[in-house]
Amino acid sequence: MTFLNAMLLWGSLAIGVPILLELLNRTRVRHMKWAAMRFLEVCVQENRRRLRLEDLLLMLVRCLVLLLLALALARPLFSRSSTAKGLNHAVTAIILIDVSYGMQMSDGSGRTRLDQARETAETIVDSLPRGSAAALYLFAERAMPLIPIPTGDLALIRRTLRDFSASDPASGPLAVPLQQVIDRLSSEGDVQGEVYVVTDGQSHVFRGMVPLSELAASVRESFPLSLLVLNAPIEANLGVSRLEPDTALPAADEPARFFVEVTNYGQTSYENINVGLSLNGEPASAGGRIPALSPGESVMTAIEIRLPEEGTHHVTAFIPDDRLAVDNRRTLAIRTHDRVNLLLVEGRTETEPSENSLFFLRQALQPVPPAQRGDFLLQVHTVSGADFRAPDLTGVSVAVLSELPNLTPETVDALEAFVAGGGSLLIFPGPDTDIEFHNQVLYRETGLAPAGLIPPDPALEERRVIQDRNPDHAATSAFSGGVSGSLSSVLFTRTALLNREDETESSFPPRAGPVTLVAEFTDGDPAVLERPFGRGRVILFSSTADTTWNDFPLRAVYVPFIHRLVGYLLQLQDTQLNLSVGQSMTVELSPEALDRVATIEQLAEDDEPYREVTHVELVGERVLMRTPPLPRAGGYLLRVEGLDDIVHRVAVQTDPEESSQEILDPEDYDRLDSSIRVIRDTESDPMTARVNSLRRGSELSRAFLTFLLVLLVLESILAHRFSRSR
Amino acid sequence: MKKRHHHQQDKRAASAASPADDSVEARLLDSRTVGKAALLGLTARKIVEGSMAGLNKSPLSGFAIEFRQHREYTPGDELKHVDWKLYGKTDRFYIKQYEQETNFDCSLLLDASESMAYGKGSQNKLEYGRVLASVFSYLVLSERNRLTLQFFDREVEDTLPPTSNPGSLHNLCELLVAREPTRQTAIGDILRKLADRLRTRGICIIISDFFDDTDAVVKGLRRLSFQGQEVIVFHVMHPDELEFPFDGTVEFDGFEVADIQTLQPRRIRESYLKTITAFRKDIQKACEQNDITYTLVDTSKSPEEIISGFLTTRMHYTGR
Repeated sequence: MTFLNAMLLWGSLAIGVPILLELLNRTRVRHMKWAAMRFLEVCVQENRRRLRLEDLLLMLVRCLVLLLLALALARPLFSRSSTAKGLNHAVTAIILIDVSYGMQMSDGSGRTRLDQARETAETIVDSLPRGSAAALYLFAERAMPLIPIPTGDLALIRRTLRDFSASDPASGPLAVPLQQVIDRLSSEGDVQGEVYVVTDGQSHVFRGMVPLSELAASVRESFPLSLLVLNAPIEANLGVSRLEPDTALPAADEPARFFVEVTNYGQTSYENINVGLSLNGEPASAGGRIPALSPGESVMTAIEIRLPEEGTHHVTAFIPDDRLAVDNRRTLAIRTHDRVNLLLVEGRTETEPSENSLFFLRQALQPVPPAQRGDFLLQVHTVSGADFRAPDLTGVSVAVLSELPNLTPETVDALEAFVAGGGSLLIFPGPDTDIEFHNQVLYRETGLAPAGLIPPDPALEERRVIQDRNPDHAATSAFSGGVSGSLSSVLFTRTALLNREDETESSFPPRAGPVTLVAEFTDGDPAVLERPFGRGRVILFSSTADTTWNDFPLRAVYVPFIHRLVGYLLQLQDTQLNLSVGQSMTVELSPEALDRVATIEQLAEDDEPYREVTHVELVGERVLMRTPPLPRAGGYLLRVEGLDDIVHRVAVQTDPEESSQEILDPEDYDRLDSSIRVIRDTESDPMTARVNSLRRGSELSRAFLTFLLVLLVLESILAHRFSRSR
Repeated sequence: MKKRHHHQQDKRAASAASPADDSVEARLLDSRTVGKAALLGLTARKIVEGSMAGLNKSPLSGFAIEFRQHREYTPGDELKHVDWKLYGKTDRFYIKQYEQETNFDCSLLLDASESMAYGKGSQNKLEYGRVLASVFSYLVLSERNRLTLQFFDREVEDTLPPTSNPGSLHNLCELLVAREPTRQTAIGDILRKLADRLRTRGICIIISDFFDDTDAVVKGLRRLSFQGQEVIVFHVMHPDELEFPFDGTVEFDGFEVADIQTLQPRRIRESYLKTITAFRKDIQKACEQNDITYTLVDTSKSPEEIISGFLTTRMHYTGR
């Protein structure tokens, strides 16, 4: 126990006062001659012990009263803290503040949970004994250092706490950022300290309770963990949880429908919710209205707008403001296409066009009369395998290789660069496919192909169909027997086996990603495989693009499937326009942008839109602009100084799950490891006082004064009782 | 005859003390008290053996012989006592019985121990005792009864020889006033010794606070009563002793007990009152059991009230 006013402890000497008064009182005695002395003696004899006990008790109480008064005035402090080596012992505090966008929930008076977190963190800093140091981290899905190494400059910590900007990331399990912080501090030498995590206690943070408990238990000596859970009542909150176009290929200067899903995350029902759309920051005239929305319910509405010219655009869906502003709007960056160029590389050398392996595919890609093909969205160019060269890939979004012969190394390099740069590649095998080239170059060396090929036995006729039950790939999920038809209607008489048996983890270049299954035969063999490669995709079929090995082109499902597949690939390219909060991106620019200053700025939806300046750099042979991690949700414009136009648009989207206000039940904190100290902010037990008591101990003055009051009452009762005639 | 008697007493009472008189009688005998007491008079409740009985044989000369009852003649009765008129009417012999009035011997015992010195002015216990003693002396002597005044503490102190002369009242009063308390009391022993000394049956008036061992006191009273004495006890107590009304811290210094007790009286008041009441009740009970007239004398009350109350009650019992 320590005392804030230790000097006042001298006041405890006042316990001598009752004794002194007692002694003085003994001198103030009235003398009296008394006749009935024998009776008095009897009474005194009978009551002597009682009188003495009462006198002692009363004097004891009076001494205690004075002692308690002195102690209360000296402001005693008491701490049960197991981590504090002493109340005034300097410590190192590592403060982690939850900055997931749920922390921006306002209490209605403009004060957000993040404001509460700042105050709580500042209270921690204020409570640190002289000579202490502190480090400061923000966290959501990962840790974001503000002051990574503990510093004794607590003023800097306070300033940083007040000044750091809010961001819109979603939260993740706390164990991850906590581990990152501990790793970071451990790597800086023998840094140890008390870890304080300030959070609103959303259940996402505690998704991994076991890892968190294990981590806390393993570092309990060096990094004792305290969870400071803010008072976070469930507020009324609507959020735009989804925004997507209904077409995979949005065309320029054409109307397009957008689906907007609104979710009620609060506990209040809503009616007549207006939903609006804006295009590149300008509100569109069209809008939607959701008649009613119950708590926990999600309703989707469709709004049609006319898309502008070719290029990237921001489409923002918005609803009226509420206490959590972040999820009231959701921005999508889309690329409208005036023309989508596809390159068909024909490996078969037939004179009759209808004999070519890509004849049906070409017709399917442009299902319009030949006269209208020039105006059609998809523009198809065909080149023979022998003539295929690198320049053919310029401006192409999707390239199709069918029964590919051997290619020159330059062409292979160009193909690699094309896919790595975001292009999409479809590979169809066939009787004329150079199996050796495919397996050796496209599969093993470059990693472009998702699998090697084992050609079918020409003498053996197969009868295989595709398994269409519950396909979970985006390109095939629509073709499981609904209005779009079923892939199982296609009969495959021959198929090349997609062979991945000799594949090892390290056998491919790093940019060749993991292979995923697009479709499989009923016997379990893969029918179509996909591999991400750099920023692009490669899809490998096991059968021909024409009717040589199957009857696919003759089936009704063929044309929609091909369009769906192309749309899927183009959308994948567009996903690079839509990032999650905290992601960064790299944009390849034209050579004229090299060494220029580039800016990335947020669409002016906020009072203080995000703006960052960077440089366009030459990396290898590519001119690249790299953005920092984008912290806020919304649309961003990328500009390069000296170039007039906007060079790029991206959108940053939040994880709608963060809008959910599900918080951990108080009982669930009991499941945490006992080494984790949980301090919950409640109205009856404010966090500030609890934090102060952690460090400084509990100030016991109030308890002492209460006890003093009790003693005074007791003294009065005893004095009255003892002086009563008995 | 009774009226004449009372008339004489009134005149004596009026002459006992006058307001301007500063004699000892004036100090002790208040005219109102004496007047009222004289009206009520003091007569023996029990049969007493008066010293004057043998001197006045005629029933009509001086001491009245009053008819009490008839009883049948039995052989051996003197024939002079036969009621011949009744024989004439009834033809049967009846003896006529008379009640003899006589004077009595009165021993007046006043406690003069130190404990009687408590109290101030008229509430002083000894002073109060003096007043009681003087009034009863007056009453006894005025009826020509024989009075013996004695003081006691550890010993019995004789004063004047027994007297029935009303003129001795002055000397008695002087003796009463002159006596100051000096020693401890031993009333139990005193009463036993006194019982042995009193041979004739008479009245014994004891004025004391009885601050002695209760058992000894009770035994003494019993002994005295057993000797045929009509014992009258005036238990003199100061209101302080009865109520213990003190506050603050008081150092009690014993009169007869060499002890000093420093205490806060309020804290033991109840206990004290219980003890003193028990003591008083013990004395009173002992008196009642031994046919002793007990009167508690609270010195805060006027002697007139005490004496007239006592005499009135007594007259009620004696029927005179």
